[in-house]
Amino acid sequence: MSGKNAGRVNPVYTAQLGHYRDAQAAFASERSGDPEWLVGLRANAIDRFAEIGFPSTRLEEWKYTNVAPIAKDALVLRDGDAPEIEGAESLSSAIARDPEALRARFARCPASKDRAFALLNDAFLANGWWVSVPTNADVGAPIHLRIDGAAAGEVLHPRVLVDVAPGARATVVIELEGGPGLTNLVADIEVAANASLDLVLLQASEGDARGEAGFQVSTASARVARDGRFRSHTLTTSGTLVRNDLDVLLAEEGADCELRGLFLGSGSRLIDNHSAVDHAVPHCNSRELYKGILGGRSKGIFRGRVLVRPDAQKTDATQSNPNLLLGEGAEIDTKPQLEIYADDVKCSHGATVGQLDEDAVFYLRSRGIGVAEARALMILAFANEILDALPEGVASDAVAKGLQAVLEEATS
Amino acid sequence: MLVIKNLHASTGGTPILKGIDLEIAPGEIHAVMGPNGSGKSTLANALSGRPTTEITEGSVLFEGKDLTEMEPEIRAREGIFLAFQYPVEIPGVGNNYFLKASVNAVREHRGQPPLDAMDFLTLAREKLKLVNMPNELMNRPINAGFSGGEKKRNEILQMLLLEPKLCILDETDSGLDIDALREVAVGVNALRSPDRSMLIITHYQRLLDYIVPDQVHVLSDGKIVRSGGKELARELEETGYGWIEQQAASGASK
Repeated sequence: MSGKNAGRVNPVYTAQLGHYRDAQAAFASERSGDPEWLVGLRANAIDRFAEIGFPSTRLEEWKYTNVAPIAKDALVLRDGDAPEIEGAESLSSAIARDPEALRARFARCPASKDRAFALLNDAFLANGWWVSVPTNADVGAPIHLRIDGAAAGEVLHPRVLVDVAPGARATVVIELEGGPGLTNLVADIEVAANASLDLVLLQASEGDARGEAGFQVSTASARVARDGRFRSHTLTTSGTLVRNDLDVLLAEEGADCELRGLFLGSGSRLIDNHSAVDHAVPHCNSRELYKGILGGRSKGIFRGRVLVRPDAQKTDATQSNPNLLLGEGAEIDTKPQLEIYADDVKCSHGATVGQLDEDAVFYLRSRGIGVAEARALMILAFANEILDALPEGVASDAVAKGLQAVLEEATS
Repeated sequence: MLVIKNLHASTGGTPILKGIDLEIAPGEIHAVMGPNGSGKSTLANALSGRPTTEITEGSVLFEGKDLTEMEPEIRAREGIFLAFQYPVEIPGVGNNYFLKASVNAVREHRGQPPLDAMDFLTLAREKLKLVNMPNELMNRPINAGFSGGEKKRNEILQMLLLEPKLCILDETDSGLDIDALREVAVGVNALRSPDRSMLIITHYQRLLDYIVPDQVHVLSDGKIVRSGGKELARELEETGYGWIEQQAASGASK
């Protein structure tokens, strides 16, 4: 272990690095006919991954999330091809159709650098979709990308590219089905000038609501151009260990983003949401609201970073993370962060952690409503602020089922 | 209807009620008056079952049933209604949903079939008119952003919808201007009937000009120190509560 990387390598998890290197070599040899740039991208990624390994809790970014349950096993690649979906082209089809266009697209994705899970996704890059919404198109119905869960001992590395061309408008749903294995998603999003995108990340599989499964890691980056609008909705009700990273770059004036999230914990699940908004230029708005409801012995983590660069005057940024703790053993670690280098800005942030308002519960009971129903009503009311703002055509049934599991635990 | 005997209650371990005896017959209106801190609201809380109020001694019978062991929602379904001094704001829960759930919980307890959405709305509109509130109030979250007067009228609206047997009004007049006070009184008087009783808790006499009580009790340091007819309220308005403190002071010096 080199001194330089000493802090980055968790010695406990190096045991499987050779496994992933071998698996990648086998994977690459099967795909030796792929474009050279892709072969190179995969090779560089596995090299870097083998250097840094899985993140340890000594890294600030992973302080509260121990990935040992993922890193301890030699997970087997679940290979497969994404089905063709209306409005979304599978990556394998795009590679065959226009490899040069895809190369140019990947060249615009931010480098995975020291992000172990994104590097792994790069190393096994093959499976996924490219969603391109043409100029001025208004896609009414949501484009729904469903990703099957990984079986026990398996890992999936889906990749999603979303491009919304100037003046276009769309809703994209990425639904991660649960499974006892690891789903390691990477998504890259470009919202062009005057375009608008609602992105829903749905981690709400039914089996998981009972606490049976699985590991989900997602790394998403979005860039928003002049007067573009990006809204994300991250809904997490399933998974035993979930980590979501979302980075948004407000790259041109008038760009606007709204990051919304709802995470529900029951049993002993862990849900970790990290986000970063980069105000690179003046006159951009960002709104962030993540709400956590944690029952049982579950654990939630929220890290939201808003960076306002020196040039980004007239920035308007808010960030809020209210949480409801329902279980005696439930826990939340929340840290909204503002870093402001401009002087003419409007920024606010806040986090709260509370129990159910017992005065309100008594108020409902004093009108004849039973105690379990009163508590359920209060919990739903807390969640509805996020669910009510979901884009049209996105069913929140799955989330409602997840809520039910939390309610049952909280009111039993 | 309501028989309270030697009721002792505490809040957060501090004894507040120190032996209340009170009987209210069907159809009667009783007013409980007294200075701040005399235990008026604790009496209301003890009767409605607020978890933070602990009954330590004595008994409360409501239509012959022991109230002290009953959950608050069961008391409500049995016909006890507390109009809150400070109605709670609950953003995220619609008034319409809440009131329908509440009405149907009480109806179910009484063996009546639940009201469907249409029947409930018809009923609600009729009662809204009585307290002079707009229909759109039903679409708003419970008390969220309501003015003080709207909150109190919303309490009376709930009372009209649930048709309780015993109405407890905890300082319903506080913070109301004279017009709002009149509107509240109209709602309350609409509920007067030979088999419905009321317990009106107030610091001031003015509400009792509109809702005339059969009996007035004066509460001081957790005990009823004087009872009388409606003229007692007026007397208190003129003399204030100073004499109570003097009485207490001279009692202590003996």
